[in-house]
Parts: sequence; C-alpha cells; structure tokens
Amino acid sequence: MSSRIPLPYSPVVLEYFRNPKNVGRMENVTVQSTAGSPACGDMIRLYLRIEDDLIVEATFESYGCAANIAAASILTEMIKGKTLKEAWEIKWNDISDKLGGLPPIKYHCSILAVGALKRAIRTYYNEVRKEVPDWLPKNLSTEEKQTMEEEELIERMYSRVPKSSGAESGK
Amino acid sequence: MSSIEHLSVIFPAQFVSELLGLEVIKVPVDEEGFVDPEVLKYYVDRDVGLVSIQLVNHEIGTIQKLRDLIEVVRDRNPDVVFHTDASDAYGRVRIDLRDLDVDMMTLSSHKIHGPRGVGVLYVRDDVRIEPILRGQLSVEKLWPGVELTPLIAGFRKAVELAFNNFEENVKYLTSLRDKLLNGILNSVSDVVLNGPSGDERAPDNVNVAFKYVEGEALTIELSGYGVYVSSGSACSSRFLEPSHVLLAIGREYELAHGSILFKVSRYHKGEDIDYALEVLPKAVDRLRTLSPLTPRRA
Repeated sequence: MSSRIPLPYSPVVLEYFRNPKNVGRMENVTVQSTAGSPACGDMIRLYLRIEDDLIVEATFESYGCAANIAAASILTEMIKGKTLKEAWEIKWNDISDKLGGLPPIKYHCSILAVGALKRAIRTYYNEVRKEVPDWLPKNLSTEEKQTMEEEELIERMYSRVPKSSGAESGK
Repeated sequence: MSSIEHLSVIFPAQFVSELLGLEVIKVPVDEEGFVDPEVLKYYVDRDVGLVSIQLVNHEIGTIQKLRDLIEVVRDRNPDVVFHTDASDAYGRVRIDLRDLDVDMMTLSSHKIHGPRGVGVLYVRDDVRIEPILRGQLSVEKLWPGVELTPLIAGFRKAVELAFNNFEENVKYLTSLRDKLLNGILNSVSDVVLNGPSGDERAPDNVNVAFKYVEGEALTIELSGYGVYVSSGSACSSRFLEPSHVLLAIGREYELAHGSILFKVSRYHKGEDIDYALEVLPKAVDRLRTLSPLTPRRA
C-alpha cells in the first residue's frame, strides 16, 4: 500500500472501464460460467444466450481491476454474433491487442476472460447440448489451464490464512 | 520484527539474513495490528540480536505500545538492540527519546511533506553499527560522500512546519480522519474498518475494506474524481498476494483485495473530506453494479 505507480492503461482500457458494454446478469441465459475467485481478487462471470450454435447475446459481471473489467466487456463484444466454433478461436492476446495492449502484469486478466469463455462453451456442449462437436479440443487450452492453476493456487494459499470477521458497519 | 513492518524493513532483513545465515523471526499481531508484550516475550531469547518494531503502522495506523514492548525485550535480553521505524509516527504521534528507550530510530522526510530522498537514522551513542555504503567515511559518519544539503535543508524546514503547532495539528488531523471515517461508515454499506480506532490509531489514517469491489478498480475510479488513494489489493502489487499487513491481521483475501487507504494531511480542508464523501458512494456503487459478488435484492 505504499506509493503505487499508476498503471499505464491505454485509453481503450480506460474507456471500457468507465463505460463497459454488456454489463449484468442475463434473464434467459443458456449457459453461464465463472473464472477466477474472490480470493484471487480476479473474477469474471460470463452469461451467454446461444441459438443454433450462435452466440446471440453475451453479458458479464466482474470483480477485479480495471483491466479485468475492460477485458471481460470487450470479450462480450467480440463474441456476439459469432458461432461457438469461431468464438473458440479467440486467444488472450487478441483481447490484449483489442484493448490497445495491456501491461504484462495484467495479461492474466485477458487470460481469465478467455478461460471463462472456453469454460462456458465446454459447459454448453457437455451439459446443455449433451453432445460434443469434433472441433472442440479434448485437451485444455493454455487459458483454461492457467485459469485453473490460479484458482487452485489461491485455494491452497487461502486455506493457510486464518479467517476473521473484523468490525463491521451496519446500514 | 512484527509481521506488519514496512517492506523497506522486511526485505533488507530477509536479504541480510540469507547473506549472513541469520534468522528473521516475524512476531504475529492481533486483529488490530498490536504486538502483545506477553507474546513478544516468547520470541526474545539470548540469541536475539536486533528487534525492530514500528511505532505506527503505515497501512492500518496501529500505534504500538512501544514502551511496554521495549521493557519486555530488555528484560529478556539486555543486550538486544531495539530499532523502531517511526516514519509514519513522526509529526503525528509524540515521540520523546528521553523516555523511549530505543537504540535506533528511522524517520522519513516525505512523510512529513518534506522532499523525497532524505531521511534520518537516529543511532544512540553507545550503539556501534557498520556503514552499509562504503566510500569517503570519517570515524563518525555512517553514510559516505558529500551531504545532500538541499534535501537536508528541505527536511529541516518540513520538521519546523510539522512541529510548529504540533498539538493543534494532531487535533486537526484527528477531526478530519474521524469525519472521513464516520462519513464512510454512514454512507456506504458493507464496509469493514482495518486497524484500531480512536487514540490507538494514527490521526491521519483511514483504512477500510469495501465488500464486493476490488481495490485497484476503486483507486482508478476515485482518481477519475480527483481523489487519490491506495489499495491493498494484489492487482496493485505482486501477483496474487494482497497486502501482507491485512493478511497478518487476519483479513480474508477478499477483504484485503477490497481495502483502501486514505491519508489526510494538515493541508486538507473540511470541504475536501466532504467532496470525497460525496463521490465515494457513487464510485463504490458503480463498481458494485458490475460485480458478481454483490448480493441482489430479490
């Protein structure tokens, strides 16, 4: 908490942070996914409405830094109107590039966003359609692996921290 | 040392300990950041050479009961050298070296609105330490080379200004602090105070955790309004680990990530606090709208 240098965010990131698109829980959601966790300080929840393998609607909720919010928001814009197969092709650096470049320490935000997307697509095929297309890779992508690693790591670290309630305010 | 020392104390200690094969022991603190003398007692034995405990914590404002801690340490081992980092105490908390039995003390210029790049290490006459920087040193000098006169002059002026009206300054800071803290607790829901309250807390320190939002996002949001704060979240520092101070007082990771530090100074006016209180709920609310953790009213 001592003097932190403000991060060199691009104007695009700041814009998506200030005016994010597609925010909120979705009413008639086809599938939703969560990546990251509150303990990570980094969490994205993605909501998709899918019709005939097409993503017709995508919204998000985000608990995390400005880069996290911007990455999730721009992702929803990138996938709307795409087929699931097309959306699957999106990589974390596509998001970083579209955001005008993220500082390296923030790459994990775009990785998390793609992790959430891929998790949603897999869940859709496994649990909603109950049949998995041939093009869907059986092996986990880098983004999915890294997302899981981050979640597992924080679980392990978290279990060592004693929990406390602290003095709370009402309202 | 305590588990909540400033990193400028922790990192050099760890470095030197690896270099020289010494052990660094971190004494735990309670929920408000206090080192209990009864607990400290158990950590001090004949093998301990140096104890370093800050007078005021830089993040949560805990004012340690240093006199009691020193007494306990000296009782267990009279040869121990006791150092205190008083950077966040100087100018806000009364320090009287005539009855505070420390061997060494660190002060920082920029913390009392002096120029950056200069500080003080007070070393009592009977303490012998090695200079860490080699160069043109005389017998008395611990720091080589030509003195940084402009910086020292600036520091001196800052000291003069800080102690000009010490008691009034402290009262004033305390009133700003309490106005801000009470304002926050009354206008924002789901807020947790980090650190002690009242007289046991530094007069210029407010540190609160806002549930459901992440600290760095909040600092950027507030900076858009012209309010500059810092956060304890991991995103603002090393990967994944939030502030070690907040973790040491037992804060869950989420609360640590959502914690914000506000510092008030004698240059702030009541209107500045009013303004901050006006924009803070808006900033928190906007981020809570985006967050999946915010409880929804059915």
